[in-house]
Amino acid sequence: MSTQRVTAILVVHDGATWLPETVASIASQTRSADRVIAIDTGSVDSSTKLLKGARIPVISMDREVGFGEAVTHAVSQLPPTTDSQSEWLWILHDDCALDKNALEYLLQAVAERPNVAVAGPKLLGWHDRTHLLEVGISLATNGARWTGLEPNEYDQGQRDGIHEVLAVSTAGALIRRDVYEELGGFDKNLELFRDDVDFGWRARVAGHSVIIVTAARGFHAQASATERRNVDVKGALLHRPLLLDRRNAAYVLLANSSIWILPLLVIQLLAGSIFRSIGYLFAKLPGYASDEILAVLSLIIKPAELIAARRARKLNRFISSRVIAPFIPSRYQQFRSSLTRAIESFRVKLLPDHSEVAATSALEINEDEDLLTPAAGHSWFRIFTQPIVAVATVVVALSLVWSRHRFGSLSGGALALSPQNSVDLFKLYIASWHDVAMGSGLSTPFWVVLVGIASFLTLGNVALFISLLFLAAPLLLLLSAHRFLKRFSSNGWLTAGAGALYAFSPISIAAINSGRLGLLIFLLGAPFALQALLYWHEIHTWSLRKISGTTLLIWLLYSFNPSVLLMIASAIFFSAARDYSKAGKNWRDQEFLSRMTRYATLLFVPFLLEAPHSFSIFIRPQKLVGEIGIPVAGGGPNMAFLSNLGGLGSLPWWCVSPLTVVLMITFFSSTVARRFATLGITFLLAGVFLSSFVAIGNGTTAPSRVSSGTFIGAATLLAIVAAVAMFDKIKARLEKSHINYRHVAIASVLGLTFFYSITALSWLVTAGADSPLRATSKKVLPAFLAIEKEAKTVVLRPYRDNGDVTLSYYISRGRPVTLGEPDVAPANNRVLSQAIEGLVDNTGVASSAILANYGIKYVYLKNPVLEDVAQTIDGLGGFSRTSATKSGIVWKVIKETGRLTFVDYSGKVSVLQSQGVRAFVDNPGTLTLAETYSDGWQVFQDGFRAAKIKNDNGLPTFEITSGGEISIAHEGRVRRGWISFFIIVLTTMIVLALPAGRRKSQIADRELA
Amino acid sequence: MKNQRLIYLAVPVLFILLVSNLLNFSVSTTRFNQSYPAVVCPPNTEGLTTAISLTSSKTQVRKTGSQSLKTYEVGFKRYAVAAQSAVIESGQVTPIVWQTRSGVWAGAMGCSAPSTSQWFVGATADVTSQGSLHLVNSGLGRAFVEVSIYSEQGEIAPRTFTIKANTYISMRLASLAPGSKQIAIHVLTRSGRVNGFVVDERAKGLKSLGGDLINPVHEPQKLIAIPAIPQSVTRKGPVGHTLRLLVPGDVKARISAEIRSKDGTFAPAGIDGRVIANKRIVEIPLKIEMAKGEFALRISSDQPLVAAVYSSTSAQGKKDFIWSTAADELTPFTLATSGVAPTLVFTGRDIKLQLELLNSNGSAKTIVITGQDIATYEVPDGVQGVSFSRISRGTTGAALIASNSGYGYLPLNAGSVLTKSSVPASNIHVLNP
Repeated sequence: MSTQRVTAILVVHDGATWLPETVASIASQTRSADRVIAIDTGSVDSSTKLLKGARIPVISMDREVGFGEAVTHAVSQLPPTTDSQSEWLWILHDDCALDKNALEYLLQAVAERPNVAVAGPKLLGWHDRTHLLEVGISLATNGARWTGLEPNEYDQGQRDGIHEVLAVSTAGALIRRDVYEELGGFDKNLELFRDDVDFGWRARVAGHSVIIVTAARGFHAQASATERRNVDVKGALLHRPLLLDRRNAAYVLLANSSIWILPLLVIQLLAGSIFRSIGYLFAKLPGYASDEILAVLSLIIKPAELIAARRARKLNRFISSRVIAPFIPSRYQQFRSSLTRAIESFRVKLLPDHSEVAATSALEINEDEDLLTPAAGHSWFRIFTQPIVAVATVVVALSLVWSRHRFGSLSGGALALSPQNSVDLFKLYIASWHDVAMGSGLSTPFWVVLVGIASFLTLGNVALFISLLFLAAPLLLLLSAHRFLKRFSSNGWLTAGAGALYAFSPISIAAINSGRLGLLIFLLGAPFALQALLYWHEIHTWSLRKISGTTLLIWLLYSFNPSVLLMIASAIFFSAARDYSKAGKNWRDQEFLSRMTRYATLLFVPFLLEAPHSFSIFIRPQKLVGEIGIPVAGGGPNMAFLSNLGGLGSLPWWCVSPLTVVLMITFFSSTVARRFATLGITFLLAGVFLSSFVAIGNGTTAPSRVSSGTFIGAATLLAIVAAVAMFDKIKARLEKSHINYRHVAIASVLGLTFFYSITALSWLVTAGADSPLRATSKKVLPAFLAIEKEAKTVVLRPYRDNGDVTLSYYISRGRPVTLGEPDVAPANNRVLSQAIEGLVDNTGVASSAILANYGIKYVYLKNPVLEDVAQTIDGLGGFSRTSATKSGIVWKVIKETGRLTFVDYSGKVSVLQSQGVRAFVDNPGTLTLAETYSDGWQVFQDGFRAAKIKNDNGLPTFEITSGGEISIAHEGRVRRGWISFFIIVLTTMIVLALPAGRRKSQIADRELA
Repeated sequence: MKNQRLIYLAVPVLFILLVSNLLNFSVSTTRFNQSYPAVVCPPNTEGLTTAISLTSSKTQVRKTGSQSLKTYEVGFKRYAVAAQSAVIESGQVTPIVWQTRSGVWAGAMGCSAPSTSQWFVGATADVTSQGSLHLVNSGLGRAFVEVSIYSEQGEIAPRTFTIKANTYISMRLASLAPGSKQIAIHVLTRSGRVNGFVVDERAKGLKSLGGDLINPVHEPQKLIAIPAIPQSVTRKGPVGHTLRLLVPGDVKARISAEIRSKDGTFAPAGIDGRVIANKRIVEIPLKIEMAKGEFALRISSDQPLVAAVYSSTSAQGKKDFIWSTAADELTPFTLATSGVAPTLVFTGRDIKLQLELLNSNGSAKTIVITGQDIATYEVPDGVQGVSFSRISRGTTGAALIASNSGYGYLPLNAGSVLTKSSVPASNIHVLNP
């Protein structure tokens, strides 16, 4: 017979929901407690009544009394112990039911282990009793409660046994009475939460052992932690359990840890709190976010409490704190756990488990039959029988052949060279001044940052990211289109085939071959955008989250394609007119207003997010039909009508795609295809119309044909959607009818598709591979010019266009143009342009002097050299040939020039050498900076700003009043202001677009297990 | 219903296509600048008289030897250049330079725009040579020129000359290829706006042997037409000619020749199938049995070559010689003839062209020239310009001018060709590899 005496102490607080089962479990124990005491901390429900009904003696206490204090009070009511080592306290929660053998197993375990002072049961979920909650607990270094379990871990006995742990939950914990009294019970500062970890920690450093006995099982509802009841303890400010939980977590760590690691712990706790607060803000749970911060603050403002706690612990610490080290999870374990959770979360979202449990009764299973059924063969190559896998494999193979000249750092067509790393892109975005040509203060569009962020996938290597993007573009186009097309047909071969047509459509080919990054992103995002806008007519019912998400998607596409704003504006204009008419021309109509609000969000928020870059459309509306990057002309309206962009890198006209024909045919369809066809034809005709115009692109004064790629891209996608909708189950319909116009139409579409497939793919793998976009190691400037970082060079380069040789120029600063720079390239400088024109038309007698005024040191005529131009420059005077090589001819401007020209009061002109932003002047005088004038340019001397004027050449000139060191800088306050504004708007939109987090009280019981 | 839909579809589609194409046709995206480069005339050196024929006294002109590119109105239709070279903004008019050493020799050539490559076939560098090579840099920047001399011995190592801005340099032919009897000169401009001029002046002791200006050709060709070779006949019979050839390439050339004259077309003896050594001057005597007049020579070769014909002449009792050089296919242009009355000789299989004679009184007269193989027209006195137009394919031409100082020859090549150059546009594309 056991000599152990057990006193069960049941702490009750508004636990009527769970109490009946808890009490029943106490009563049904195979080894009954010798004494049962219930402490009720001011329950307002029927808890006391229930306890009295079960004839359990109840001690009533105040509602604000904490858990530890209640237990200590109960212990104090017990008679003095006779055999201290044999007397045990069994701590019970009102929301935790114990298995009938729990106490017996616990006592059995402690009986065999005399050094054990605390033993706890395996805790399982209250609702799902196969779900493991705790098998011992610890504390992570960030204060998080650490169970070591996977999320929703299923109990299959994998954790079973008797294990040493740091602590056990107080729910069902068996504590030796003498140890409890020796340690002073639970810490009074921990009214609720983490008192268990703290007690276990203290027991450990006092030389005792804490074990988990999994044979003993408890089912815990965790009512306080899951906010199933109010937390009314006095430390729980505003009844906030999370605040109390976090505060107590930090308290336990700081009170028990070695003094040497306290600074690190404080930093870790603060950083963790801030990080989690941001997370809660994004999850739209500001209450939880404030709890995180307040928890740490409440500790910091009361250091005396902590100091006292550490002193108290010192009295009972008999062994080193290092004894608990094995129980504290390592950072690696914590990281792995977080990663596993994140991956699992993504996996569940991306690949939901569709396996359905057969609703067959176990009684219906024929075991013999089951045994006789041969195991299904799952050869790996059977995956290729899936349409999307088979088509994707073909697309990848074709892409590799097509892209054979694109393995490496890409440039050409509309795509500029990639910078060294993504940091350069961020710098370009943040900078208020760009060293492009004569300098530019234009604001950088946000797509530059997006590319920079995306380059993190390749460890910041932008060139690699761009190369991979263009290489994988056909596959990505296939997948994005296929994902959307699955909505319209269950025929996998049809949707995969249509996806392949999208991937190799004329517009996709043009986008890839000509390096149109913006258009490519549009084509990748268009299926997502179309899906988001599919129920446009129900826009008034869209939630704030959906509107915000769609707005962000539109902004993303707009950032890469300015014409998206034109599309959205047009769509909104027509929709608004229709809505107004439908609302009976009553603008106060609630539904009309609701729709207008959402339209305005979709239109203006992307515009604001792109500000101030987007404001440029007010000065140059033609930017609305422009593209990002280096301008590349479109092929004109007739090519556009063939759904082909035309121009550089496009399919030749004879590769006629079936897309336009599909749109025309499906327009007569009686299915949903007609809706898409109507919209597709609208986009196509808009593209055709716009293609007949010319516009001036980035960094050029020469107008070129508008490239209406986004419109043709939208028409292409809509044509493919219409085709899929029309072809879905067409076979069955055609079989049922006699030969009629439908048969002819379908046959012609199929025939044209076959023709297009043959011609387009043949072209792709032959001439099409020789695209303007290619991997190149060519240099724009000769090496000796590239070395002179501060020297500006006029680069003249001839191009052949329709048989005529045209000459273009730009000012280089010793390096090629990189990604994003064409978008901020400055407007034309009239004086400089005339001087450069004079180099060619023989009127530039003063060109040399003008170029020198602008700090231009060299003129470089790139090969193929135009002899008459070379002769003209030779004959103009003011230039001396520096080199003539196979790459071109370089002339040096004879007049001395540089970035900083200083003229002292005696009229002596000197070129200053600057080191970074600093330069030195000997005398007072005027300093001219060879950069385009901008209000931001400032020269500081002795802490004062030098007076500034704009000289006749449009350059900033400063009055230097004394000799000495000066510093030259471009003030970027306005830019920083815009970036701050952008961050605020973007954060707001992201928060609104993200799924809202749920308070624990909002989580269903079944989800909580 | 379906018919209605067809209308809904067809009308906007056709309308948009029509409007778009109409807009598209009016699109012009590139600016071009068209101009005639200024022409440069040979410099007037000591003892020579240089007169330039112009069509207008308002023609803008400047001279080398200054640091300015400023032009001024010439004020005359026949401009006498005292010194230096004249740079003339004559547009599509090609001025004729008539250079003489009074009573000793005369030579003619058309002023021309600077060229990067000029071949001069003719002259000598032996003891009789008084000739010189002039290199004119009409630009305001320094020019670098490479001069290669070919002689009967082969190629002489090229020499490079630097010419200061807007100046010219002269050098004796005898110093370039001492002792060489037969030479050809290649002037290759490495940088700058350079024109080369070669004066072939000869004397034996104090006795002048005549002289001429040698007209250049730009590049060696496989088919050469020399349109006008004057045939002189003395009591002893026809005066002989000498064909000088140079194959500058690395391979010998096999040639054939054809004489076109009023007497018909025939092959001169000893030329057809003849192999010409490369990189050295080869001279072939031509004895043409025909009456006094002009004939044309057409040479075909399997390798590019340059050629000229040396002919002794006698005009107004004065003995002289000329170098008849190759002419390009005739293109429309205007030849300024103020003060000279050239004989125009045209050659071709079927010659057809229109001449417009601009008289000094402002009247104009149109003459249509037709013929086969060869046709001549003597420009009357008082004509200040001849415009060539409506020219049949394959027609070349040259002008022969006679005076009491001697005989001159110039091929009818436009001195300045309309140059269409693209106005450079700012385009960031140039900074992308």
